[in-house]
Amino acid sequence: MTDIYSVMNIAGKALMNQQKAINVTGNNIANVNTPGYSRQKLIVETSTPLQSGIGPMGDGAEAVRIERVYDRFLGVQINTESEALGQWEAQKDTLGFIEAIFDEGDDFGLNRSLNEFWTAWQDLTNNPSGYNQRVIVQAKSEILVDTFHSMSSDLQNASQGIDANIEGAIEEINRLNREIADLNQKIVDTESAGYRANDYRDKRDLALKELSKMIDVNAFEDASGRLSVSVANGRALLEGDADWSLSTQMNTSGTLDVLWVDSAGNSVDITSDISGGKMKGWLEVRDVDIANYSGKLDDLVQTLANEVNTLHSNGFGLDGSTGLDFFSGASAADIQIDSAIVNDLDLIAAASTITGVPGDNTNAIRIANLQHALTMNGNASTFDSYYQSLVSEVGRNVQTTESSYHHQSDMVAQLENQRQSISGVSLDEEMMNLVKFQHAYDSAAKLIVTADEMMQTVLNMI
Amino acid sequence: MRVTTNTMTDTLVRYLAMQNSQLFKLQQNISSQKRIHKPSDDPVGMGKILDYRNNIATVDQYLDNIEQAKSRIEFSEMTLDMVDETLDVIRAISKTEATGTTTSRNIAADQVKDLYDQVLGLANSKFGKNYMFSGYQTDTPAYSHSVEISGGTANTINFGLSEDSPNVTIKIQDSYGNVIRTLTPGDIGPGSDGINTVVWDGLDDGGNTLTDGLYAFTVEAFNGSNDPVADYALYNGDDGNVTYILGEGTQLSLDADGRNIFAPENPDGTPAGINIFEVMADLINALENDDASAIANQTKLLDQAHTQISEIRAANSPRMYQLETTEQFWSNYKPKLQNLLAKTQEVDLNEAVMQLKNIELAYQTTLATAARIIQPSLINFLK
Repeated sequence: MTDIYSVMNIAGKALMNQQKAINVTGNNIANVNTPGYSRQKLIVETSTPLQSGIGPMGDGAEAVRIERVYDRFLGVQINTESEALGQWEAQKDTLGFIEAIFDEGDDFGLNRSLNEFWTAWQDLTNNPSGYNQRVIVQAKSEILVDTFHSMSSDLQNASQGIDANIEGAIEEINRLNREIADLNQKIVDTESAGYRANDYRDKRDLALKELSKMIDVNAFEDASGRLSVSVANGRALLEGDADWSLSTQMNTSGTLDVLWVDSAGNSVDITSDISGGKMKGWLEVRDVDIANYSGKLDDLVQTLANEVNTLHSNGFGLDGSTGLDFFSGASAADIQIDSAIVNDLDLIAAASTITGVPGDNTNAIRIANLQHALTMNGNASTFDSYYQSLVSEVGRNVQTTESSYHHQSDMVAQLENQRQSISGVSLDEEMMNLVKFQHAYDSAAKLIVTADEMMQTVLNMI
Repeated sequence: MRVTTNTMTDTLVRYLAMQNSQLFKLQQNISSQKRIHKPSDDPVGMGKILDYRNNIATVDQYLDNIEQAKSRIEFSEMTLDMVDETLDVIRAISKTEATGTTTSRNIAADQVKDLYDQVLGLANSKFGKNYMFSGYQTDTPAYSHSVEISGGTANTINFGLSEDSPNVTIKIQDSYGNVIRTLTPGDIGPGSDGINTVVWDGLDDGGNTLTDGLYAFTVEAFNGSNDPVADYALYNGDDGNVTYILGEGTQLSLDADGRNIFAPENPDGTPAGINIFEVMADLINALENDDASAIANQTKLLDQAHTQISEIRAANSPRMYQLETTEQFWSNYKPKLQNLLAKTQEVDLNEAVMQLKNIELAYQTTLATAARIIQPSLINFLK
């Protein structure tokens, strides 16, 4: 049987449903630019119909839940690609900074200092006893040595700058981890009470994505809705109620190691296990690229010092002195002109025999000729060409990471677009929904008015 | 695919950023006229640029070296020319005086003494601050009466005499010209015609040890009839040469041994030519002694001395030729390197401007599209 009240009832429910729908639409519109927000949808189902002689009589519709429109697979995909993006971004930025150390673009750099060093020796060959020429040899050597020092300390600074980044990132990782733990609790609390934790889940997804940019992350959700997070090749950060944290520690070579610390304070060095995110990018630059550049620079300095010293110590200074090294120190950081030579330029050994002093320039010629000697790379290249190929290598590395970064960022942008196409809010769509729901609301109101009139009619009959 | 408002704005923002960075790069290239600003702009090109720059700087240094070598040869040529002219004057005097009188010979002797000093001065010419004809001993005059104390030990005193002289006195001077030691005939013993060697203990008159250094000395010699005997200076240098770097692996050695010009010697020390200073001293002595046949003898020797110097001068010309051709080679090579550098480093302006036009068009189109698509939404049409 049906009566006017049930019409009233259907209209009332419809009114409420449309109002909820407008509410959800409003919320979508409000969050159109909120990062990580997934659009929501009111799920409405038909109410169980009443059975009557003529068939089932509809009892209107019921709003059952508000769903977030979300593709879990896409979320995981974005997180994975974000790890790689973070790594390339960190590498691109730091390598670009390091490139400036090897910036020879304006012809003020090691290439020039090195060349001037050789030509100063050639100058000395033209007047082996000349004070001016000796001063120039000393001055150009000083510039060369200073250039080595500043390159070495710039590389060192770059490495320290990276460590500062790492320290900041570790704090960020710990903060995100706590945030996820916090959201875990809220989601479990909400959902165990039978509600849906749509916005908490959006926030947690966003935090996880941020975390993925920092470090390689593995996460899965258990049956209760709690997210377990592990980083650096399976080191758990969050598992059930327990959580761990990351910290840093200075190692013997003066750089930071990343430690994985449990609640009891026990720590494990996981530096070499980190395989993604900005952390990986920074570690890669610090431990591979900078180490490589410094190593090559040191090789150059060491061979240069050795070759020059061997010749120099066999020569004779203006005062007949011999056996003296020209350079002291054997790395870019500590190479110096021998202090005795700085104090007394007569000690520069231009002559090859004691009897040849002061007019003999044979030893100066030998040293000047080192410019063209194949001394580096297992006697395959000259000092100049060795450094030139180092500069090329630096440039090539920047180029490679830049193109990898661009490729990766296109990829992530593509995935973001896909996420947007599923979870993003389309204003046009929401406006249409608004109009649609408004009309439905109007109609439901009209239904109430109609039922009311029907009621009046019935009452007037009495 | 469902396209949302944000998808559109994000994509537009990304493309605009990309075009902006391309525009920036091109603008930078065009305004600096350079294609490569940092190694990553073109790693291989950057390597080449560094190499070209290095080569250019090195070629500049080679040209510098060659310039130095050339001026040394030119200076040496000028000096030898003056030596030759002075010897000509001396030869003319000796020719005239072969038939001269005692008075005229005495006047001529004084004249030749002055000319001797002139030749001596030329032999001790300095190129820059260095004596040119002393081999490696560029801080020692090539020909002079001087003796060195080194490491506390005095070298032997060497000098030449034009006649046997029983009576020889040597006065050693400090750097201010004060006589600090006089070696008497008793110390020295009789001197003989030619080269004489005297051992000196390195002490001054007071018996004090003298500091290391070069000490000048004068020689006063008298023959049996107590007439003064002319002395002459001996070579103080060594057989060193001067080597210039003309290019990678190419060096040019210039002889700096003054003996080859003024008193050639065989490796064993025996004379291999005319000792010009001895000839001049002998001429002075002959003029003073009024010895006509000795004077005529020196005239012959002076003719040979002329040939000796001419030969040395002739040897300079192929070296000069080598220097000039090398200089020409480097001078031609340098602009080629500069050209290569420019090609690698500099931007092709036509191409860059074309690219700029293209990107500009793309940029403007993107902006126009953005203006059309982003602004309107359904709201504008819901009235």
